Amino acid sequence: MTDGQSSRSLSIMIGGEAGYGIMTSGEILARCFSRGGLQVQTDVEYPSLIRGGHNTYQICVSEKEVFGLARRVDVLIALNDRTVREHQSEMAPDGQVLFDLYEKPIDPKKDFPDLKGELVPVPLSDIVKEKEGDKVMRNTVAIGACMALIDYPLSSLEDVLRSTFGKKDAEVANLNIAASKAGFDFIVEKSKCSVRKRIEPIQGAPKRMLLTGNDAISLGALQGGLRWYSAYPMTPASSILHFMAAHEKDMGLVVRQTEDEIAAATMAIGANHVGVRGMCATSGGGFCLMAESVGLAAMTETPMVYVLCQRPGPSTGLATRHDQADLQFALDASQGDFVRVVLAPGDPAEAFYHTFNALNLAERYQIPVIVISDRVLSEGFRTTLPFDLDGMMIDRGKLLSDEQLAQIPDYRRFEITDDGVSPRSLPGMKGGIFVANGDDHYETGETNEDPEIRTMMMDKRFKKLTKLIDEIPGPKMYGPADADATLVSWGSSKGPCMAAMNALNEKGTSVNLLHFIYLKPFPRHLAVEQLKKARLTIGVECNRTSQLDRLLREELKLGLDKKIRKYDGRPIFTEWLVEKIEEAMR
Amino acid sequence: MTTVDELRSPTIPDWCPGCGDYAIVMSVKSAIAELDLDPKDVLIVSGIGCSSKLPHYVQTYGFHGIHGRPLPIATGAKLANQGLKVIVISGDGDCYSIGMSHFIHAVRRNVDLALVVHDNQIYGLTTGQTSPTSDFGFKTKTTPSGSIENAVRPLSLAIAAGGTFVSRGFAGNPKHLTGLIKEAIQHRGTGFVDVLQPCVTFNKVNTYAWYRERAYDLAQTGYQPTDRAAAAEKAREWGDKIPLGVLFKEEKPVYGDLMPALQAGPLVKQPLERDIRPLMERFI
Repeated sequence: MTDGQSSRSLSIMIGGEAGYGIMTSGEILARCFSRGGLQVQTDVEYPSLIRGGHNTYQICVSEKEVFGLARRVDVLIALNDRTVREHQSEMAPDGQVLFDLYEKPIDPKKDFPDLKGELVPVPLSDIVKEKEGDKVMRNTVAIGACMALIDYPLSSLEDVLRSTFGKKDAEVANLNIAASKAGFDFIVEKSKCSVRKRIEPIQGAPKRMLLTGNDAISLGALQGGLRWYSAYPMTPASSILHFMAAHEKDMGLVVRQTEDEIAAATMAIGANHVGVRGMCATSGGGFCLMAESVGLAAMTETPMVYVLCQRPGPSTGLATRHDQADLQFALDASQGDFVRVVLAPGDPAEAFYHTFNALNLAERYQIPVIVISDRVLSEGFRTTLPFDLDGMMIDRGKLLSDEQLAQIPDYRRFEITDDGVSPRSLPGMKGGIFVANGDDHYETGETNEDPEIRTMMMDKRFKKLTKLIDEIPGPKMYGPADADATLVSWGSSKGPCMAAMNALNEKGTSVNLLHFIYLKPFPRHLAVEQLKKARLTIGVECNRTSQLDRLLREELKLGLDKKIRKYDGRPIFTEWLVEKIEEAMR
Repeated sequence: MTTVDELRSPTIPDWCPGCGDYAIVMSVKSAIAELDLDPKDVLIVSGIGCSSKLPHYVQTYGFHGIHGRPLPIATGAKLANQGLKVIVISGDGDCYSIGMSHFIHAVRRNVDLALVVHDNQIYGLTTGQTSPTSDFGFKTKTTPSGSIENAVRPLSLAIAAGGTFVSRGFAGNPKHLTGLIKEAIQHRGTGFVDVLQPCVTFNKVNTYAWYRERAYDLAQTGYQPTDRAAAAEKAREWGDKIPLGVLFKEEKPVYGDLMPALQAGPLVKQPLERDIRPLMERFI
């Protein structure tokens, strides 16, 4: 093995069947980098099955912040030959494929005719046998070998393996450490290959968390005082349920897996109704079932937070893949007109802060709030600085104390007020009796169908908008203030847009990004200025019908000049987006 | 001392004159008064239908929600504030049709609440369509040639689902019904009361007289509600004779007993602020 060039960024992919431990190895590798002061974005691709199929875990690692995913693969860890066959053409010309020669003799030219890069055979299975490990440990041998291939210190892997397995079983940790060392040693001592690209830990870099959008949503909700979480399993929302269930004890949470999404949402509404902060999460199909409850929360003025982790539809669609086609659905889900907030964070940090804010907004305005995520944000890991908790205040709005309630002689729960928000009593409080009513009602909650009262109560609920709109943040501009083209995007497409924007600006093409988190109520006055200033607007979103563009046309009568749409169920890769932007700017 | 008068709401019921629902609301109020529950600690949750207007007619906290979903709403409310006495008011359409799965799940979870189902074997508020408890052959607007479906037997379902308090009352016997509702509220677990409730406008078959002819009080037959198999057998009895009273009763842990967060007291009393820094540390 000989020495190679230092590299600022690398794209590493692990591939194999479900059940090969792809996800675990990917996470371990990603954590080696994040603990080494490097920055990471990962993506996991898997079909909807439990064993077999083809799974990949991609890790894009860099000395700088990683926003997007590269199509290019520098190091491919192939736990089966299908991985080589499927990804051979994605290999960088100077890339390397770690490959286990265990099943059958391989003739690379014949078996992998399109292979770019070098095939580096490693007897993963033999090494596992030697170490008397389980066959699944091939992945650990492989990531050990990968460490050698990129000249990254093996000690960092040892450290992560110990913290991953050590808590449960020191023996398992030792076995894995030995296996990884054997893989590492094989490359150093026996392989003829050379180090082509190396990446090094950064000494003295700030400590960063490595977490998914769903982890961040969960943490944001916990920071926001969440005590109730109910859900029905559905990819890509399920990991929130797993996280919450794992922490029901130490965080003092009631976590329920319910019979369906209707129960998940209505149970959370019940909990919110009596004064506990509750939330539920699902994907598009489940949100269809929850839709009626969104209107119930609005009509009964019960605070409620929904997390909608999108995946491609219609129907079951692509159950484990990526899409952003539920924006228009979230904007209008449930019958009737009512005030809601719809927001879509662009990365884990935004997911944390804005989920926290979602709980506050829901309670202060006594409305439903929908937080939109998607497969890439929900399940991809990103290195993120520990969240700054200073100044994060839980605000319960007009929730009355017993003392305040005692001062109100003729209490009416739905009293018409200047800002549309009525002082709120809770069941159990003296003097605060009311009926929360899904039928329209007058100030006490009593059903009322009088046309004048109906108009007054509709207007009362809509009056909440006046104050609400003032605190809705506008879209944020990234990159040069003055650019030849402005990308316009929302939610997790922020990542690939940032990556493509940076790549283009480095090449001398001046591009900036206008990114929306808050989509309803729509921050009109803040958006319109920036859009009008732009020379050429290019929409970037993962859906077939340019849903953000539709929203802009409705709200501002201002469409986007060009639209880049992707709806193949896969994430936006930086190279692809750069090419599309260049095309749009021609 | 809570009185029935105190529980009278300013809202006047808009049920049809003679409707069985009047007796049920009276029985609910009597039960609350006789148990001397503080109205502020009572939460009545209902779905949609004639039955589900009931929370408006009792001066306690109420939640008149959406069709079929009072049980999950009530489950969330009860677990979030165990200090509340939760009474769910539902109908045969609400509970056994659109809300059927929640019914089975609430019963198997043994959520600590009383469930009173106004069972009139017809859809009233939507002007007379078939219901899951409509008898085979029963003619309605939607079954002009008679129902071709076998009726749901709610008590059988509740017993099979592991119900810990399964009973039937009759709107034509409010005193007996009040007793059942009281027992259901006091029961630790899901206190289920299916109530035979004549719909005087749309159900011309299952009338007060029809029920009166068939209904009998189990308690007067020496029946003991302690054997699930015997209760299952009894629950199938329908037609010429319809048993009233408690078919089965047992003590079992309730939903929430094993939830770690509730060991620290009612959820609603727990502070919202918490320190998530140790959790963040785990991601480094």
